[in-house]
Parts: sequence; structure tokens; C-alpha cells
Amino acid sequence: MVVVVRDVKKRFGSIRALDGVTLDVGEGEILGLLGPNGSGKSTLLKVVARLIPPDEGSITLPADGRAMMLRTGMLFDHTAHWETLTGYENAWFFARSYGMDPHAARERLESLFALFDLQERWGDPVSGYSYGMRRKLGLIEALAHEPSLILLDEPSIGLDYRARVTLAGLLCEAARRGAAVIFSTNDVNEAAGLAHRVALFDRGRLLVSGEPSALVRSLAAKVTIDLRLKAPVDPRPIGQVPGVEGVGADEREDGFHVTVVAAPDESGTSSLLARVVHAVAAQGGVVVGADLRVPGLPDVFLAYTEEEPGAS
Amino acid sequence: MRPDSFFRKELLEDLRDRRGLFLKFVLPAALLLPLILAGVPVSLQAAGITVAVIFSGVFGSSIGLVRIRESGMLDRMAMLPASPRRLTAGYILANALLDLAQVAIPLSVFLLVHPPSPAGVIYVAVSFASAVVAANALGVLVAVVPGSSGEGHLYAIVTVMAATALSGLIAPAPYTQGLLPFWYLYAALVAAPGAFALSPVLAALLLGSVLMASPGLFRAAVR
Repeated sequence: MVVVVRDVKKRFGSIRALDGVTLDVGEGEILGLLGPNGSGKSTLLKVVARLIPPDEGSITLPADGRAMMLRTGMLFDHTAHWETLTGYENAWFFARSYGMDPHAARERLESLFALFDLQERWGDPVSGYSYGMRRKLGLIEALAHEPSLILLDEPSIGLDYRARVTLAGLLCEAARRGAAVIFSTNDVNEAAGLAHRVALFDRGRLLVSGEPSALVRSLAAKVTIDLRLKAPVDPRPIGQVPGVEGVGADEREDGFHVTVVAAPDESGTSSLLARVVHAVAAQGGVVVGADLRVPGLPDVFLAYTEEEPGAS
Repeated sequence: MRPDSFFRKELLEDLRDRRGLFLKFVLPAALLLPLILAGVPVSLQAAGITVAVIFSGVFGSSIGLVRIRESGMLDRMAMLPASPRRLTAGYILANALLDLAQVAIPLSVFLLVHPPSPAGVIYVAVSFASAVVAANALGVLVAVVPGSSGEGHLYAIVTVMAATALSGLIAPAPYTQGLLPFWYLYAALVAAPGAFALSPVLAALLLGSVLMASPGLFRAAVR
């Protein structure tokens, strides 16, 4: 394990920022921290980075002090840079501070600036950078020295789609290299797509963690298929389709609707949809519209973070 | 020049800020040269130069550091593998170098108007360098306290006034002036006899104390 967090508690005055958090992150693993605003994600990142000490509990990292700092890359949730220096000079300062030799720093920075489409502006003072450009620069500074522990606080905020794809590629590459990546995000779909494991927080507590698909399965939520047909059909044969657990039919303003509820299928949702459409067609039904609702990580997020009645 | 270290980064930032650099050089000259050339008593000229050293050192270092903290850069500095002491030393020395340069112009004119003995030149040089480093170290120490740059200005002003008064630059302060390096600069400028060797010792003590306290400065920055 690269990061071992055991029963970590942290308070800021009366606010419980972390309340008995225990989790591990291994080599080559990407962990996504999810949770509502103020749930403790950023605090956990700072505690792991040893920027703030926990009140109770322990953080174990593969090294201590300077040796660990050399191997850590961190992106903060703010966009602080040296404003009068150019983007390249800012990144250069951090690369050199992290012990990169000038030749390696030059090569790596040129590559990263190109990947993030910043090469045309690297010679401009940061004071003229947009928010997104500052975020990109922060990422370049955090990743340039190829750290083995990468801590990113909301890394995709302000990034255009291409930069998000680039970031995902860089993090996957870092994980393949053996780096442990921990990132916080408010984008559930980003966590589902990028993280090997997600940890869901609320009010400083770790509610649940695991692989996104396993968490979704644990909800036992159903797939819902809503088919709009040209003309009514008998819904009963559709109920006989393997996997289908329930079927309903009703006439609406826009046409005849058949609603199918099914358990998530190991062979894939498209296979289930094909079987249902085939059953409709077998009765001479013509499908003119379909709406598929597949349970995902957003459902896990909502299910776990739903306000309990009377909870404060 | 590339920012390979915090010291070089600070210098580069100062050099890039043309307007700030212009003001930093023009203001001490504009305030001190008329005083030096007006034929007022030497003690007043010496006090003026010493106050300028205290002011530029304390104010420049403390406000600069408060702004760095406000911007969030101190969080990022805290993540660097360099020790807080090294970073703080780089900050103080870069700022001291700039202060040396900016007060050096009026000081040179003063020495031309009032040529000291060869030994006096050494005394002035040593006590001047010591006072500049001490003022910047004091500025860093002051920057630990305030929570905003507005508060930072207030604390810096109070510190400058206190250092000026305790150094015996307004009225003799026999119990405290010998404990601060600034009085030794004043004494060297007015060619008064004094234990000049104490000046770098006091500055080193102050600098050392600030460096010892610097890890706390970075810890206090992170929330």
C-alpha cells in the first residue's frame, strides 16, 4: 500500500471535517473521492499530503519528510501562481524544486505544455491566463516530476473537454507506472469513468468505498426501459423475456408506452433491450422511441447522501 | 535568468515588476537625497537613512509574504521538498539584496558628502548590510501574525515605528538601542564610537530566530 489511512479525525472548531476515516490506496490505483460540498474530501487530501496534521488517527506513507515530498505531486483547489512570471517559469520553478535536472525538466515541460495546448502561451505572464489555463498549469506543475503519489483536488474544474481527456490519459499512464492517484471530484460520471475505486464521503464520514460497478450492483437498482410504440400490443409476452421482472403498459398523449423493469444484465443492457424489442416486434409492434435508464454511480451518490429525516 | 530556486524566483519577480522596481529605487532617493544635500545635521541624515532601511526591509518583506500567503502560494510552497528554513532564507536574502541596492544610492551620496575614514567605510558597510538583513528578517516575523494584507500593513507600520523608537532614532533609548542592529548603522553613519562588531551578531541572531520559527510560518498558512 502507498497510502494507509487509519481512523483519521480532524475538526476545525465545531466542524467535523474528518470523522474516523479509514482507507488504503495501493500502487497503480486511482481512487476518486466523492461527496457533497464540505464533506471532507479536500481536508483528507491535505491530511494525506501532511499539510495539516490529523487530530487523531494515523497516515502511513512509504517515506517521510523530504523523501516523500519529492515523490508527491499535488493540485490544490485554488489557482495560485507567481503572477508576474510566465507559465513556463512557474512550471520550471516547481520542476526544479522537485529535483528535476534542467534537461529532463525542459523535455517534460515542453511535452506537458503541448499536451494541454498551452505551448503558445507558455511565455506569457500568468496574470494574463484564464481560469482554465491556470488549472492546466497547476496540473503541469503537479505532474511534471512524475510523482508516485498524486493528490488532485477537483482536477477537472475549468478544463475543456480535450484537457479532461488528456488528464485522464496522464493519470492512467501514471497509474500504469505504479503511482497512487487520489483525486476529489463533484463530477460523479468522471469518478465512474476514471477511478478504479471511489470513496463516498458525507459530513466527514466515509460512507462507502469500492469499485464503481460493485457499488452500483450493491444498490440492487433496476434497469428501466420505456418503449413508445406506434400501436398497442399485448404486454404479457414481453414479461416472459428472460431478465424482465415487471412490465406495464399505458396509453399516453404521444402514443402507447410499454415500461419494462429488469435486473441489470451481466450480458449487457443492449442485449436486454434487443430481447425486449424483439418480443415487441414478434407481436407486430413498431417501436418509435425508447428511453433506457440504467443505474449508475449517480444513483449510488444520491442513495448514500440522501438527507435522513431529522438528520442535522 | 531561470527561477531554479526560491531566491532566484524572488529576484526574477522583482525585476519583472518594472513599476514596483522604479518606485522602490526612486522613493528612497526622492526622500533622502534632499535631506542629505540640504545641509541638515548629520545625525538627522543618518537617522533618515536608517529609518529608510527599517521601513523598506520590514514593510517589503512582511507585506510581500502576507500577499503570498493570501494568494495560496504558501500552501504550495509547503508541499515543496525544500525545507521551510531554506525557502525563508531565500526570501529574506532576495529582498535584502533589493533593499541594499535601493538604499545604496542615497547612502553612497551620503558617504560622498561626509567622507568617512577607511575604517568608517567598513563599519558603515557591515552595519548597513546587517541592518538590511535584520529589517527583512523582522518583516518575515511580523508577517506571521496578520490574517490579511490590511492587517499586515498595520503590523508593519507599528513594527517600523517600534524599531525606530527602540533603536534610539527619535530620542536616545539607552536600554534598548544597543540590542538592535539599526542603531549600529546610525552610529556608524554619524561616526560615533560603538561596538560595531555586534551589528552582524545581532542581525545573525534575529535571522537565526526567524529561520527557526519558519516551519511554523508555513504550517500556519495551510487551512
